[in-house]
Amino acid sequence: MARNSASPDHASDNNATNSGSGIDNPNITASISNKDNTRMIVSSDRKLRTNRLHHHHDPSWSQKFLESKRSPEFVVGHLSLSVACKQNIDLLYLTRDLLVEIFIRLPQKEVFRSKCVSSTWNHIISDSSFRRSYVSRNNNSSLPLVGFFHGPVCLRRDILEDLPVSPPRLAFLSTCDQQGRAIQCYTFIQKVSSFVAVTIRLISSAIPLRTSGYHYLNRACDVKALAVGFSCSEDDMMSFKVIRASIRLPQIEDNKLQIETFSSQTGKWKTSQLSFPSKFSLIPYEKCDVMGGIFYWRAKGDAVAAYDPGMGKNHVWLMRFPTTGLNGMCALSDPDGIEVWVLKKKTSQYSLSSIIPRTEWVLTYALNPEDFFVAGFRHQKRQTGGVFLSATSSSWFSTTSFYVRFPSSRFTDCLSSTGYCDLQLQFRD
Amino acid sequence: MATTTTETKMLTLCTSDKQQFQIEETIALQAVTIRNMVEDECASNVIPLPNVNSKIMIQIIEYLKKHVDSSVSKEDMEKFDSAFVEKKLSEIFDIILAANYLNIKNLLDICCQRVADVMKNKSPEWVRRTFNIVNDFTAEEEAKIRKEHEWAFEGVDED
Repeated sequence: MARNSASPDHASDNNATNSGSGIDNPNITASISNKDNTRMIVSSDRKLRTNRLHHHHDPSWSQKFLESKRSPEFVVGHLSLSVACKQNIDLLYLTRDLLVEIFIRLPQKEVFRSKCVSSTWNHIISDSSFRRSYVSRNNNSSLPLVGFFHGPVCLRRDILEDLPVSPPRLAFLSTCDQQGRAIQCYTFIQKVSSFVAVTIRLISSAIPLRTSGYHYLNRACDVKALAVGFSCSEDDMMSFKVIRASIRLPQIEDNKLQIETFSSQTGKWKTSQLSFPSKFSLIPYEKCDVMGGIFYWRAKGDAVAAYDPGMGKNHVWLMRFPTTGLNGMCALSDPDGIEVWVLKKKTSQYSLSSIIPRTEWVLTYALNPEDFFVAGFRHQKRQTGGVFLSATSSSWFSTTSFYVRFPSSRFTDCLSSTGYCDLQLQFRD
Repeated sequence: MATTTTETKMLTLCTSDKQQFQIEETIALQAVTIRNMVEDECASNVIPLPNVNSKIMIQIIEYLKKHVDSSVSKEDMEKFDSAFVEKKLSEIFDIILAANYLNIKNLLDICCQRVADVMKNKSPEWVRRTFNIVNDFTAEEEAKIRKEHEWAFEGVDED
């Protein structure tokens, strides 16, 4: 469109200027009569031209000129836009930067729809730098906070090195961003309306997504072992709560749990202590799952410690899973369905540290929402159909990879994950 | 930039098609690129603007003139802006390129917003046709993206 409709005008412009072999033609007359003192001068002055050439030879000028020119480094797809001066430039394209300028002004729906237009547009929109720009520009709008994402980028290196050399743990609810960094999604909101889902997808690769929450945890990483959970209020999606359990290493079993709560309303961390009915020890560095506002921490010995901050400090309890060897879990509230894909081996050679060769993904389990509602965790008080997925393994070094996919298409991106162990789904009855 | 002299300082801008425009310095300096050139004293006589043609320059000058006038109320300015962007998309694109090159932020803002507004509720097919973009997805790739973002296709205008 741009090119075709614009071309006739431009062509005539060019004809006019070129008709007398270009710029030296003294016959060109200014045809613009402006209401005021802007005058258009016919450029037939050789002296002016010489001056300009002189400028071009001045190195400081040309440097400045190049800097200000903002040349189109990134030519974008097939969006061809013509400029009139064909004797200088054949075609100028809207640069990537300019497309971003347009995209960040689009409503979310339009942004995602635009991914379909061309692979270049899809590429720009999928890029994490675009998402950051979008989120920061639209931060003041009513973009609700619906998830909390946390990755190695906000862990200090010494903390990472401090991680116990343990078999790889399962990372449900995790994904990779554009740079290949793992992002763990600690939880997501209970009610998945389409609007909320949009926001999840948008922010899932955009770290930091909410500077307050992100920044705080970033600073809070002084604590050696963290088990972080996140919840946002159901009525007011803008406010949220982050709870982390501080775990002392080496661990001793205790019925006390030190927690720190960050509230977006006060903007402060608050320390408190929970007293559980019996002794347990949490698994360090583990995420905390939140369902219906209740925080669940994984504890050693296939146990789960639960805390309902909405009901006060005394609402704590311990739960045990029916199976042994629980290696990972994730909490879901009212999911649309779950699929578990297992990486079936074609060869017996495996390496824990690298991608397993010659394998294929096989859909092994598929569960409908109805299954969850039956299987919903009985301990849930406020919530309708949550479920814990547990993965069990007889040996850490067994050789199956799997990922969990949530067929609700809105989540496929952020919830696929791989781990290395045999998988068995267990639902509480 | 208070000039006490009665004589207004003028700048000469030379567009890609070698047309020259003489405009008041205060008007021209709203373009950061021009301001940088002037401040660096590397543009004493004629400022060459090889990326802007005269047709677009006229429109940009119209815009700059309005915006240099501090007596215009905010409301009137908004009215002017919204009338200003009522142009063919091809022209808007040309202005975007020029505004980006000249570094006139407000102008870039309103033009990009205009393009975004045009895209509202439009199907990808419409956008491709209008923007002259070739669909380089395979049918499968496109179907996949569409499926992933099904919700975004609710309430799209009929073509």
